[in-house]
Amino acid sequence: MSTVEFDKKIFGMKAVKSAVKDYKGFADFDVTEKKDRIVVKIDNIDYEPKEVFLGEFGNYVIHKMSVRQ
Amino acid sequence: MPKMPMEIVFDPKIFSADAILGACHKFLAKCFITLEHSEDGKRIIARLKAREGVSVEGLEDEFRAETLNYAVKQKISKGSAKIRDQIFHIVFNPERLNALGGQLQTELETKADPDSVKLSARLEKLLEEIESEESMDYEEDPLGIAVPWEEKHGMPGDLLHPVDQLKRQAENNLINIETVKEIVDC
Repeated sequence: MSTVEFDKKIFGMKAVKSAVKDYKGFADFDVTEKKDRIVVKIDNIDYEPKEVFLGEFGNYVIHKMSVRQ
Repeated sequence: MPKMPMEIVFDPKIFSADAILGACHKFLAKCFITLEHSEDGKRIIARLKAREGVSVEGLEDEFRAETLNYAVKQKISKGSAKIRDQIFHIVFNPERLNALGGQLQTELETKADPDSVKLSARLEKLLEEIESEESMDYEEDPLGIAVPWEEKHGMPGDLLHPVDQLKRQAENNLINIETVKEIVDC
């Protein structure tokens, strides 16, 4: 299982959830909140290499945030 | 060669998270990016990991320049936000627009600025002139634009009929006489 964390002061929950919604076809996601972080646990990633998938997901959240602005 | 991921640190008092996010958006095709506050919360750290085949040379400078660009844009946008909002409010609110138009008209009338009164009278006169010209029938042609040049000024002395011109050229052996005959017979 992999974990990606987002700083709550920078990223909004809506953007993260929206990105998860768009990526749910490639893996299983579990979004939780921890103090000042949004924690996304990702399992069963159906994409290789997995590192690239995680990077793409992080980038997609940034994209969602920028679009929201 | 810079170490990957490349860490770029920003002071949030100078660069807002939004400005950094804007710059990040421009670099999504070049790198994988993560953004977070430092542990003490006094800095924002951007970590850039170049995608395969992307040159890392100058990447940091480019990123910093883009962030600065966004920060300046944001500052200008904030400074002009009030005026922009007012303009939009007026433009998209017909009642307000009409009211403002009426208000300006009354202001002009009450102030009775002599220059504006003169200008307005001159404009009205010009409009009347244009309207009276527009009502005129085009067939009247008062300026004689439709009259052929020959009618106005007569035929020039040395201007020959095309057939005569051909004949003269044949006489001077410039063209074949038989060809001229053929053309004239046609």
